[in-house]
Amino acid sequence: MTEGRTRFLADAARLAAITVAAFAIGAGINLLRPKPLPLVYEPPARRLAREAAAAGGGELKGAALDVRMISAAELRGVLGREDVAILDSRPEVFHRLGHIPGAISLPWDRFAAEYPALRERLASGRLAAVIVYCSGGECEDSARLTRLLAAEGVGPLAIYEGGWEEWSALEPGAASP
Amino acid sequence: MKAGVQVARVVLGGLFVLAGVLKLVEAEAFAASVATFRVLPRAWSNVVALGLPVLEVLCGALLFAAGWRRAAALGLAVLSALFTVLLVQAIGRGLNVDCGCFGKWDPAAGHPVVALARDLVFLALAVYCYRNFPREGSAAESVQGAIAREMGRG
Repeated sequence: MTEGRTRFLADAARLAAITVAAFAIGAGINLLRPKPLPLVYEPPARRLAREAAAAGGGELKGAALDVRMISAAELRGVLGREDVAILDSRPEVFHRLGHIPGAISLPWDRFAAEYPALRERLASGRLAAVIVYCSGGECEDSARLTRLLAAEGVGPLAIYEGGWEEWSALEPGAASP
Repeated sequence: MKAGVQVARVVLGGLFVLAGVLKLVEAEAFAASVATFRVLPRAWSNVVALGLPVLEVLCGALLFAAGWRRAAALGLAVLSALFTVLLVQAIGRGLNVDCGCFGKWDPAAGHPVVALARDLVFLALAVYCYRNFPREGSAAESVQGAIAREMGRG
């Protein structure tokens, strides 16, 4: 075995030790978090819905929260209804590029600036559902916007977890203003 | 050690320590970023999000530790190569990914091609450091090396 190869293997063995230590330290740091991450990943929207259900649809961080997940078929069934609002929580540029028919752009990070114009409709109490979506299953924007809406008393809230990624695949060419 | 290697390890080590700390702060968001790449089973994303940032911090810091710096440079080269491959496959599959490299503070957020170019620079720096760091020899070897250098001067 050449000297270079021996040195490389020694370096690789040290790196393996560093990697094991890193994951052990990471697990330890997680235990110190106020809210440790579970070892098994859960998409943000689904986690929010589970937390809401665990809280009995009552309170989460001081805000009334009752949120459920809906499928593409359920969403399709309520398109065009006056008493259902569909909110696109992605950055506005993505909304302009394509969105679910009838959806209103309300990026979660523009909430303070853009919610007041929508308050009258969303918080009227006359809506049967306020459906929020973002890019797809792993995006966090829906969950973030849903929390903000819940804090304003908007509801009943639902998240379309498949998001734009699923919708645009199921309904090619359906993007419309 | 060459001045170029010193500069490279300061830049590389500093950036990886920073990147690791920022990901640790936003571990939940980083787990979602990991899931978007759809390479590992989705369920593993939290474990990766907890361990990988610490690995970045350790490798970045150990670039300055005699006895460990070559292993650390090797680790950063492996990580950079891994990130490069992940970004290439994600771009190739048309996935809307955010590398999550510097958490929500990432200047390349939403620009995967920029993130890819950055990873290639990191990879080049890590390989440069690995190839140019002095060997991690025993104390006896270090003494022999020092003697040889002195004799060379004389």
